[in-house]
Amino acid sequence: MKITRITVFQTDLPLEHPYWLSGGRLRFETLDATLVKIDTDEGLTGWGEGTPWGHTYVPAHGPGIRAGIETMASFLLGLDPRRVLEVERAMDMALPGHLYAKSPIDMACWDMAGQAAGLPIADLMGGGSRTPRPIASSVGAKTVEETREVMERYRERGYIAHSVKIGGDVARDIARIRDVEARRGEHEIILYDVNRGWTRAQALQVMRATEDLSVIFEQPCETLDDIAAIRPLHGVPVSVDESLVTLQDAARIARDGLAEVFGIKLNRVGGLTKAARLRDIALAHGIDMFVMATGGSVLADTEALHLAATIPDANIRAVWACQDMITVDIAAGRGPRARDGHLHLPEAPGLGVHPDEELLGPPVATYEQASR
Amino acid sequence: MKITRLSLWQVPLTSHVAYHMAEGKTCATVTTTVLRIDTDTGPSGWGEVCPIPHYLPAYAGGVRPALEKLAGVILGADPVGAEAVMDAMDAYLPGHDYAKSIVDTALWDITARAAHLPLYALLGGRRANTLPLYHSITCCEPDEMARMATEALACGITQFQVKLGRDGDWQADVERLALVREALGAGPLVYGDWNCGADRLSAIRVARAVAHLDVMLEQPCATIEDCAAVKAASGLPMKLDENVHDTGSLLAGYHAGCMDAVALKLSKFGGLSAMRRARDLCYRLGAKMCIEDTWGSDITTVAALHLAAATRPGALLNTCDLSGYVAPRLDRSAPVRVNGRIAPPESAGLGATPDPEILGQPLAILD
Repeated sequence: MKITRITVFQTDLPLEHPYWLSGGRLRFETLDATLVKIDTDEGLTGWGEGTPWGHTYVPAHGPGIRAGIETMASFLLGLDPRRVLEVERAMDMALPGHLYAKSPIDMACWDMAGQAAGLPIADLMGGGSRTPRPIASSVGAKTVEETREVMERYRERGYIAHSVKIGGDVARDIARIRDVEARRGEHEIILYDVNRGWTRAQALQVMRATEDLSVIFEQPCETLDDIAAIRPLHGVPVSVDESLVTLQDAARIARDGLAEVFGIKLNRVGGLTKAARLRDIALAHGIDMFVMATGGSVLADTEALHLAATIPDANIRAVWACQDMITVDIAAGRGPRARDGHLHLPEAPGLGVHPDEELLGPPVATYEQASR
Repeated sequence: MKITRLSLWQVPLTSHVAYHMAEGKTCATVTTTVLRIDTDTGPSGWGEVCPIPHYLPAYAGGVRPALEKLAGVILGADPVGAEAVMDAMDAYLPGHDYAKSIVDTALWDITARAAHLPLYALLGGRRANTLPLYHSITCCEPDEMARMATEALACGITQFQVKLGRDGDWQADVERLALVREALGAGPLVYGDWNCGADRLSAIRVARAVAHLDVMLEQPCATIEDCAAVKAASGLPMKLDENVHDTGSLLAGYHAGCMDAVALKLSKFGGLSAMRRARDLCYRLGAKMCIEDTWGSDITTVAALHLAAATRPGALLNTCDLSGYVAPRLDRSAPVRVNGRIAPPESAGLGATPDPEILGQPLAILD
């Protein structure tokens, strides 16, 4: 089987509520999604998606994905998409770095490999748990009262996992954490996501003031150096998200004992192939995981769900459904959808969901193997 | 003064001698990207960036989309004082430092032209009349490399970078270093560069086999830890390049004790603004600096020359006349190698302006 054509689509996914990144970093109203269709000489078609969470969040942007694919395309045509490691090596040779541009290609290849094997991706990767994965809410409230209201709304919809966004004013953050913990349900999974918002001093203030609660803080500071520097000075568990990009990052975090939890975002780390290695480092070191898309449609959520299904039930905390935050559905209700706050692994071979191509508009680029 | 227009061109640069590095990487013809920033009431400024394919996380195709994304931040901004604009760009689009470096160079050009000063005056003042160059010797047969080194020595070059690892034969690499060292006699600096291409074992075998020679090693392996191990096993001085691209990685190289010298490259660090900060840190860290870029023609070359000229001579290892390795020249009047040394232009700004005929039609105009 050979890759014969790579077709690239760009579509805007409007957000239901405009989003402000913490620290006042720019408001955005739409996500710039890149959808990639890969065709083969045997008639199999795979789909991938790369949707960064805006362009100010981490080093990733939609035009960069499309330019990266343009640079890599000639190295991919003719490869067997089922041989995902060869595709990965070809991409890494063609374009060092730029993992975010590679993830949609990797995703489409896993989709085809699964279809060819007649298995969902998670099963092809070694075995997918059918235990539904809890979807983490996204609690971006400001005050104690708003936080309560937003969490109650999610609870009514069946959510048991919550990502509470903090990282602003230290005193208010402490008050919100104490209030959320006072109301925590018995089996609830709660993560306090700082999104790099604190300096070392601010992080220590909040972490020490709430040490009796033993809650998890995600990405309290900007860098791994920051997280490492404050590590001996507090006694609370930490999750690393934005600072976990490469296998080397994972090895450092595991070896130096910098975190108890990994936040694996597939587009950031370069797709399923690379993410599976981060998963294995985590499991080998007793580190639990949240697995999520950086953003995007049901396709991106589904990719993350497949990886989450390959993690033992005891070690996966939650996934995410970005699809519920956007107002356009490119797959008309198909694929895994939020049911009682959980996502259920699809049984169809491959990814398990493809978009409606006519909703994506005309392709922005097509790369084909030159005919001999 | 406000920025009103960004114009981009792409020009293929062909190497005079096909340039081979470890792992089959070559630099035969490489696309350089040239930027002109126009202003409403002031001068225009020029920038250039030329990533080598398959080398670092940087590519020619990534420059234009990044600048298109950033156009809203750049257009309308005051170009005088590059760091303010660069900070706004970093907030709007994290990463992609190579793409931003082209803007930074052009902003410094405008700033210096507006001040009617050569750029080195704004970067700390001129510290030397002329600057030492190194000559990079492509990885080929050891005899041929020794011959090329002798030829360059006769032209006044005193620092030689010997590319290693092309054939994966560690004994050939030993021969390359030994023959070049012997051909040059005592005195000139010789360093062997793998560009990350060696595994730790092979690099240590080479390093121990040449440990009795006066040579330095450069970036044998892919990580700082590996390079530190090669240095520890051989006792030879070590230069870092690919692993070092910002403050954090400079400190990591320093703490690992394997950064006797370091390559500061404009596209790797994100431009002159970041390089100036790196230079000042290197004074403190005691690492001798090679101030240059990955590849490019005259705009890139003069940008590096201005910073090199404004660097304490005792802390400057060397600089590079990149424009002398490739054709076409973007500006035929820009500085060239004289007796193994080079000097920055003395006119206001960068002191180099691309020939419109070489540039041809713009790739994109953003206004």
